[in-house]
Amino acid sequence: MNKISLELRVGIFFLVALGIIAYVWFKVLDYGSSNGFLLKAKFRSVEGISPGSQVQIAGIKVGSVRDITFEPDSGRAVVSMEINASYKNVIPEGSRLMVKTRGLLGDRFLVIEPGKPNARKLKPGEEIKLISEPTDTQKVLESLAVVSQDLQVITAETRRQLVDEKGAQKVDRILTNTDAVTKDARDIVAANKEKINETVNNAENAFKGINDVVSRNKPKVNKSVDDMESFSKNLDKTGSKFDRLASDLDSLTQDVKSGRGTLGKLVTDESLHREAQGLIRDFRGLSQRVQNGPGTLGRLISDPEIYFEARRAIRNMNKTAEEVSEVTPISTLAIILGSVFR
Amino acid sequence: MIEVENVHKRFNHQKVLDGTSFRINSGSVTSLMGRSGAGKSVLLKIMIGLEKPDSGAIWLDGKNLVTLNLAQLNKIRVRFGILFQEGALFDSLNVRENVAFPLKERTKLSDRQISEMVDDHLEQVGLLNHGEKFPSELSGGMRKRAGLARALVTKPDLVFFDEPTSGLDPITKSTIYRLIQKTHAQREMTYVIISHDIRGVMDISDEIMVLNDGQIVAKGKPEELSQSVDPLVRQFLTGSPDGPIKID
Amino acid sequence: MKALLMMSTEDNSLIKMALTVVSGFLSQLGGALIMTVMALKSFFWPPYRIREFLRHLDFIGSQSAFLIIITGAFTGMVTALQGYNGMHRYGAESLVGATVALALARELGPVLSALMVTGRVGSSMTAELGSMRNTQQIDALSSMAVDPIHYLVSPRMVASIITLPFLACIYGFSGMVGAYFVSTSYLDIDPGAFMSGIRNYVDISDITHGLIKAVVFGLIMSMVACYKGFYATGGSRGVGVATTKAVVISSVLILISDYVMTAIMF
Repeated sequence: MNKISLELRVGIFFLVALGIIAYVWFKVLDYGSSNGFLLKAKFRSVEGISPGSQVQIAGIKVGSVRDITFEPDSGRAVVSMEINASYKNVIPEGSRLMVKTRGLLGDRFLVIEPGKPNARKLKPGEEIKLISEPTDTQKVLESLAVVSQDLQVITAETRRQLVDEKGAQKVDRILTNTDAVTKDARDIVAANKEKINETVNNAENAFKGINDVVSRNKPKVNKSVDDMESFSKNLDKTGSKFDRLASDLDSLTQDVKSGRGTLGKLVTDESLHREAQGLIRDFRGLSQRVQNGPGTLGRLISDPEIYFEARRAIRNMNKTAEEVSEVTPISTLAIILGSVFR
Repeated sequence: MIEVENVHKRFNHQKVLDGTSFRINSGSVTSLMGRSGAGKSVLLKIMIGLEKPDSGAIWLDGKNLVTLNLAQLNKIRVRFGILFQEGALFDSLNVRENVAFPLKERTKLSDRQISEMVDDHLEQVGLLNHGEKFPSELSGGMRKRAGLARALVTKPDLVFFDEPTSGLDPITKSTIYRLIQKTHAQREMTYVIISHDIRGVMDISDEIMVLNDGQIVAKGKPEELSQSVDPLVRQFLTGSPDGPIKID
Repeated sequence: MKALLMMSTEDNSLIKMALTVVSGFLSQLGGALIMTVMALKSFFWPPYRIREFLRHLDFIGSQSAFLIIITGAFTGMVTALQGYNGMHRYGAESLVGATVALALARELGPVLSALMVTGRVGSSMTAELGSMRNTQQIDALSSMAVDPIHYLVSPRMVASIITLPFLACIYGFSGMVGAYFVSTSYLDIDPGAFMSGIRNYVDISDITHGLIKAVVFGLIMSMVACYKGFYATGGSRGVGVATTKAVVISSVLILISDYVMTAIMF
């Protein structure tokens, strides 16, 4: 007992403990090598990013967000990132900065996509100019809603004209109108195609299930557009054979109404909506379970996997809640389209 | 030297001290006798300021210990030496460290001086060769002797002995008494011995007081007390179960 | 009439009993808190008993280290096994490292090391102080003008508060080492995935929160143990009772305060 002196034992104890802390701090968690340098970037929205969020290049953590301030002049959020010293003179000018989401419900983090390797390298304090703003799903869906409202007006008019007056000229005019509108709609869809794809991708990140539903329905959407196009073209071409066409159109509308045919299916099929709702319900149940679950220890022991994913969900509760609300319009879109064509 | 004035103390409605008053002369050896549970130990605690009485005063050099705060009390306690019942040696320290403890805590003596004084006192109680032992390795008598050395090492004015011989064999008992006598002869100190070993203290005391039912019922020089016709004192002296004190 | 009277007196005695129980509890709590404040305050007053303090650091820290390493390693190993069991079903084996690390940093490290230390150190503190009280060593200290709280309680409390976070660290680390070995050698989890899981999911706040917990547990453990020992009465049986109570009370308080802190901090 007295072989090693008291002082020595206490000294060893604290040295070892401090050594462990230092090892974990610097080696395992990779903190503290903090004589890095700062880079700046301006975002329109930094939703989900907070001080401490990771900054990655090619999946490697190279730094973290130091702080975020609002710049009143430009109305943007200025993010300053602390990048590890070892990446000094590595990040080229013309690199692109974007916000990404990890895993199903994961944290958001920043990713630097390096520019041309032979470009000038960014100096400490410089700004990354190329920014990919996080996609605003809400906006894309809003523009789609406007289109569908327009369509609704047109179709309502068409139907009224067809039923009430049956004047060939008027029908002709209407048909031209329809043609123009359909073209417009096609243009809008085509213009937004990228955005829609992005929306779908985002939704895919958050909800794998919805991705499945959407991708399953994607050809149908395309097909519907095609159908509508050829349908209106046919109408255009065969203006003289009005009676037959009129009856054809009538039966077609009937088909659409009664849910036969592809377009009808898309319009009336509520399974898309139901599936989306089920997913949302599942997610709610998950977060509720996390919220109401017993103490952390209990949670850990009972269901660690859910706990870890959901812990981040709770941390970003606001964010995820908004994601839910962003996705909800996708399912309401089906209803909107349904009401339009019925 | 020290005067106890009309001290009352009760624990949960049980009277322990009921107007105890007495005075102890400077330089004397005074023994405080009483049955087990008569309140002797409580009285000792009150006299050294470990307990506050419900009422009454303890006078020492014109100061009432009862009304002093801790800092003032500590200044006076420096003049006390106390031998507790089982010696109350600190388990974590060996005998030498135990004896040196009050010197280290209270004085600014150098380690060398402390060591010399400790040696002196250990020699006096015959424990010089047991200085490195820990209290758990000592017999009861040795513990009391070590406790005595610790009580005396600060050269106090007033030394209290709480049952210095309880639980010891007759030979060890008389050794302790002789030590008390010897040390008292060396220096001018006031000794207060609390004991129920009446025969033992008879030989070494200048004055004996008998505490019963929380009051001093008899006091006097040993020879006076042994001549007493008071039935209570006589019962004490003879240790007879019959008499005014009845044990239920 | 008579029955009524009796009833009322019975009621009175019941209320009185409840009052005595409540006031007894409150006065103990108050006493313990006062002692804690006194002890922590007076720790910074001279005389500084560095050796005494070192002795407690040694007893609470160095001498507990082995126990902590062993229990920590096995805790980490079993957590890895259990975590794998759950993760395996979702194909998320790479999360085992993160699971174990988070569990150890936030809960198991601080709580279990505090409970181990309560069993080993808290009990001995109570027993030591209790027997010092019963053999009048505490009285002896007071009578020598030495403040027993300063001499006995302060170093124990401060040493506990300082040492427990370090023990929690060691516990967590040895748990991670154990989990690493089980995961990589027995469960066939990729070492890189194990480590990167830790890096991605363990936040610095997880560790600091764990350490804050450990500090509080050290305070609770030493407070209960010292209070129960310091005021132990009734001879060796009393010391035994006090020791049992100290261990039970501090264990319960540690778990309750763990819940409260978790609820507040996360």
